[in-house]
Amino acid sequence: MSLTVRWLEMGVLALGALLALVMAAKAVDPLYAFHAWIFFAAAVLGLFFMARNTFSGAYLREKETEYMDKVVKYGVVATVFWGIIGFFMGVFVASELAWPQLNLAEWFNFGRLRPVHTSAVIFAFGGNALIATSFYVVQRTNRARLAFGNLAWFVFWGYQLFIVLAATGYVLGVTQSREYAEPEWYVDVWITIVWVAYFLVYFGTLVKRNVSHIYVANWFYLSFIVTIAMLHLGNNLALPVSFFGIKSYSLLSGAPDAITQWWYGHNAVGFFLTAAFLGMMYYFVPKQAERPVYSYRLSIVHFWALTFTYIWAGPHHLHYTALPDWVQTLGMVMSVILWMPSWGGMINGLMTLSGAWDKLRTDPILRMMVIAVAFYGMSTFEGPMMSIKSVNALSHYTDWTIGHVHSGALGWVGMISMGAMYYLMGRMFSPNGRVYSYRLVSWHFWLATLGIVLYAAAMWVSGIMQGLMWREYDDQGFLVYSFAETVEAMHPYYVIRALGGLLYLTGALIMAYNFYMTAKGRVSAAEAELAPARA
Amino acid sequence: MTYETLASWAGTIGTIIMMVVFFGALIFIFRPGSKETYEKLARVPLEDDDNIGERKDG
Repeated sequence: MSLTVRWLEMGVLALGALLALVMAAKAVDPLYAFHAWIFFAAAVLGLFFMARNTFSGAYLREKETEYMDKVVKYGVVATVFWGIIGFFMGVFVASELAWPQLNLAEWFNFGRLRPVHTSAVIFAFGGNALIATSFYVVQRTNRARLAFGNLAWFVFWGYQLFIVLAATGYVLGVTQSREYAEPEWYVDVWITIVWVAYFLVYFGTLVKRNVSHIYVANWFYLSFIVTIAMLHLGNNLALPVSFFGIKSYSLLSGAPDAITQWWYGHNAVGFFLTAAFLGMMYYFVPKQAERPVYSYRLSIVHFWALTFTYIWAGPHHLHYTALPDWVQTLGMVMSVILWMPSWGGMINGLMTLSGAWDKLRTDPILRMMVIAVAFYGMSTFEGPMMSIKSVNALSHYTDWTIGHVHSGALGWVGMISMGAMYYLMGRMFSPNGRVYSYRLVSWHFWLATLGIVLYAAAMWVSGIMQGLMWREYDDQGFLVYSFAETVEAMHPYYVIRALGGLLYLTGALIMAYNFYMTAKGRVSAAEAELAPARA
Repeated sequence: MTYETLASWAGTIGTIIMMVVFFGALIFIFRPGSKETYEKLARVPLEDDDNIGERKDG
């Protein structure tokens, strides 16, 4: 990369710092000023590291003929780090529900910390896992280095900045109250810029590929990048009160606003938490099992059926509301149709192991990926069932929904990501291709699985109980239970749920230790003579 | 044209488009002679992947 380009990049960063200074100076409220200073600090830090890298000549060692792997390695570190933060926040907010005394001050109450948890696990943990693996997969399957040089680094650090802005905003009370899209308008603008850069890097790499066919994992990743861009722009149509203040108002109101939010919300599930992680599945499961995907034809049907159907499923979040009846029915029907692509994909992932099932006994990483696919099948069975109006009449607004989300999030998204992270640790951080201890991976696997079982089972019982208590009438037509009575009845299940989360968090801490030891080049003494290092 | 007729036509047309696309995709991927192609493509991630730009096929 030429020196001119690097000067240009530093110029852009300097302009960014200047803009942040203006924002800080003209801020109409202190929270906006605080965020402007974070922008400023990030730009100055970026400028410092760019300058150091340029004047030391370190950038000259980057070769066009090598894969750009350092940004992927940073992504693995970020994924593990944010995972632990996100899981810890989950355990903490679950404990706040079980023991309300933990709602200490306004910064730490459930209402502010819940979005910190959801954003940390979805966007910080999941998002970093996706950016890292997509950069890894797109280079390997297309035999090309990431396009546009340092832009991949901008995507990585710009995304971390988005996470910091979002999380600090939530704690301090900056929110536009849209599910999974709580950051205010200026953070939305920032993530739009980062996301366009992400698209350019990804698409540019596809364009300069050295193979004729684009492997199916890339289709899933690309559909995720494109659809999330569309959803983000649609969902965040808002008018700021001032360009130098945090507050904005949505362009829409009432039922149109509600359906826009769930058009976004459910497709965040569909394209962020499903399609993108399916891309991960279609690359890492075959790699770890050392077998091609069961049916490439099925993967193509899976892709088109999933993308065509998912986009319609959002209205099932608004059953029995002011949303027109036919829209609710449409959402329900499309959700039920989703059974087929989901299970097609699950079968494709699981059957990839046909003829290699014995590997499950010896390879805990593969076991992790397979249980992820199994949880994918389970939660995509549960979801369409819950979207059926008569089932939804019982399940909606209860803990059953929370249980469903977590069997998908902890089981599918979490397990497939952590399986991929272990794969990358062995490939990119270890001198001998192995992670430090497979026994610890096995511990992680069992702790996480047990945690999910506790979580999901507790929420089924508590959710269905809650739903039944809400609809219980006496023979004179009066409600039998007050709301507080249902809360009291749910207490034991809230404790079990917090315990399940704690087990899941413990597994992630073991992963972090294993990662640290792997990166130091250590091999567990007990496993030194086991399976030889892969070439 | 009333809103109701428009909505019902939109539903019909949408159903037809999605069915045509779905069956079109099925016909395309099961076209004669495609079995070998797809078996080869499924192996893309399994090929040695430490060198840039070496394979021009697949």
